[in-house]
Amino acid sequence: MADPETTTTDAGTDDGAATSDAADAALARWCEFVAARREAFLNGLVQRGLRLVEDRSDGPTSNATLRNPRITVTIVDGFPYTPPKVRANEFVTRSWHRESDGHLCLYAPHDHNGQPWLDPAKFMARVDEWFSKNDADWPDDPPALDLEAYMNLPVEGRFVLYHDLSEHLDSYIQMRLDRNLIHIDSAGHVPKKSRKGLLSGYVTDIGDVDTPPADWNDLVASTSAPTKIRTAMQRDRLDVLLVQYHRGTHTGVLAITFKPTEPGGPPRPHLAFSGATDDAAMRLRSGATANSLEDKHVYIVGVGALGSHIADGLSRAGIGHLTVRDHDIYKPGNATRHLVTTTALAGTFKATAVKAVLDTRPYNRANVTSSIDPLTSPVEAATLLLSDALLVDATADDSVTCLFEEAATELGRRFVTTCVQNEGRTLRVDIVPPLDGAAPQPATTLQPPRAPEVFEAGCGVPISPTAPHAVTEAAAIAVRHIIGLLTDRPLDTAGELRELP
Amino acid sequence: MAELATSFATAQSNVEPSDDDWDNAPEAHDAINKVLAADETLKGWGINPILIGSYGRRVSIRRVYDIDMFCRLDDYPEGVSAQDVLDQVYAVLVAEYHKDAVTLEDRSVTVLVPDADGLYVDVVPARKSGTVWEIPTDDGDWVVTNPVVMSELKEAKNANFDEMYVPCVKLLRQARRNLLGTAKPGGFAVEMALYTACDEAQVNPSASMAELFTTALEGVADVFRRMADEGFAIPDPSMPGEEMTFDPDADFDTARDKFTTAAADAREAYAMDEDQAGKAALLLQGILGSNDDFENVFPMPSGYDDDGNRTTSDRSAGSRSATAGTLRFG
Repeated sequence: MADPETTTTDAGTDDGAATSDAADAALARWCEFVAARREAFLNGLVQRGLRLVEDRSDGPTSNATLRNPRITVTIVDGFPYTPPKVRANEFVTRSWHRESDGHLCLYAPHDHNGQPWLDPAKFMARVDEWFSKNDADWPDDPPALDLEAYMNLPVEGRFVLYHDLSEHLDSYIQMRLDRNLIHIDSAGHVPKKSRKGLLSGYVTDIGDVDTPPADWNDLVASTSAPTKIRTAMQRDRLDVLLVQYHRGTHTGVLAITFKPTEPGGPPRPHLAFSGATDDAAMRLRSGATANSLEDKHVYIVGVGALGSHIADGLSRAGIGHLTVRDHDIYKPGNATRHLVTTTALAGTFKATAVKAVLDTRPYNRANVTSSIDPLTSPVEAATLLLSDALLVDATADDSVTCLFEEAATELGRRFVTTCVQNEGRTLRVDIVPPLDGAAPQPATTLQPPRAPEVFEAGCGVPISPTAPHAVTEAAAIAVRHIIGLLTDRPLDTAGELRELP
Repeated sequence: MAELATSFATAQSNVEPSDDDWDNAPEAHDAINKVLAADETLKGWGINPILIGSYGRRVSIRRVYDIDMFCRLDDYPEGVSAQDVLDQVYAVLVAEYHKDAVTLEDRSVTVLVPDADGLYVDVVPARKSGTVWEIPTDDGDWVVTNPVVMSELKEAKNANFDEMYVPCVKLLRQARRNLLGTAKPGGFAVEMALYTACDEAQVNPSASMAELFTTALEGVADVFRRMADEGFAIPDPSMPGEEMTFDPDADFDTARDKFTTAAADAREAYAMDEDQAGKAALLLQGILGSNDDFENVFPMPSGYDDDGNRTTSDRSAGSRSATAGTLRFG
């Protein structure tokens, strides 16, 4: 008998794709593995007093159902990698921890680490914990803002965009449909006789929500104007209802749209997915340093492939002011590695193109300025170094880099220079001069080229064979060091040199 | 403890009567009912058949080889003997099914039902006797029986065992088929022995199926032992004060030995740890054997080969995290 742990097959080896028979055998073995995991779990629950009342499992699929006086446990597709469903046998009060179909919310996605439900003892302990907390009315409840998950309404395909609703509370708004997106256009009623493509919206606030509404009627009843909303819906005078709600200090918004479920039928409430577009929503994903970067200025010289992605990374991180400078022209072929990917900007200066792109990005909160002037003036270089901005050299041009290095040394100032070398196998960021008198990083050892030189019409120098992923990787490293310097938490005194094979 | 929950659930399914069984039995009952009801003599005696036996009590197992038809004669006349009734039933059935398919037994008439995959129907005439019924005996007399109450008692027991009594009866009937084959005692004796063991609290009504099956085998083995060694008679739960009688050919010595060994095997299997589930399943396969459709009524648990050896790795708790560890973002 071969050891199943060490037996090798054709599948996934260097020999290439598995043969059909080998693949079938491997798949059968895998299904057996999944079924064995399930059966071990079921046996563990049976040992703890649950009764297996249904089990027509077939390989990896299962409908196994277990029950004890308190709960019913159902194995679902995806088990053991998806937790089982658990329902209380007797009525439990509605809460943020009970799904609309009555199942207990036992595991949030961040609870999936290590698949804790696979240990029957831990699983039952989790169930006990759920009931204990439910009896105690969920103290220390995290403010999850997913009211839509409890509404049990049909879902429609359009997406509602909104921003700060405080100015529209208890008021009608005019909304506009743009392809699949519904967004707020302005305040006020939509004229009855001339809608001009506008949708009618209404904004309300139901305050703190301790328990999710049971259904649509319950939701409307919890608003300050239930009659107005119902009447408007019945008269087909309401297309979108935005319901703001609160959990502690957090605010959520539920978007309900109205349309017939069958042609010619009365409008029915539907659930529309929605999202905020305001700065606060964007800032949530900018990282922990976002607030510290709001008043910082980075001046990037050279926004080719590497510099453009550095600019983008800083913008996403929440930098307050960004200057991009480059006198080169953007060509269609640049799109493969550059932040700018639209041919429509071909022929414009790279600095102009980068600013144009960042200015349209919803996450960008930076004041972006651009310059198309070449930087050759020693005085201007010194002026930049002496300014409040952190200077970042991404030119990979010795005439610029040497200018900054010597000026920085003479002036006692500091800047960052970054580049990719050896066809993308060397990525480096240098803090010049290094912090705390540290030694600079060693010079890169140049390797023989592995790819032949290639040229493009209109370009006097060979096209670098550096791959796009090397550029974005180098940019990410540079952004990390730049943010470290800006927030007084440098990652290293001299920067970072990464040599890849 | 080796619970083998899924294997037990599959075994329960594997001993259920097949779709053909479910089709053939009621069709045969209806057909014979019509034949008997059309006879003027039987009609005059108030013939009113119902299904009894294991099929009637819903404890029959795959395959269903025979069903018992209880021909109640609601207007049974004075002066008509049990043999007269059997002869009349025999004559009516021979006229319909030919004498090669109909056999006159001491207490019943047996019909091989055409186009029913070898299914026999055992027609037992019965006359009213107060609140119960009487059926013919081997010597032409009548004996009291109460099959309707027997079904009700089975239902009550099943409810008391949280719907697990009937599945357990079926597994025990399958075990009997495997251990004793066509020899007596039959499945009804096993069922009644289990009923008695349950009444004697030898079987835990809140146990898992693995434990229930084990204690049920032990209980039946104990009842058979007392019948073989101590002259114990199973009380008739449908008629307080009465005792059950079984086929005189029933060999309770052999039944005692077979069920005692099976009970010991089941106990050994149940006592095994979960990681010996394959070896535990092997013991249970030895008890439950095969039927017409399944080489092993009791399947191996997933992750074990036919010899009960593990074929899949056993990732223990703590080795289930992704390679990078926890709290990842992507």
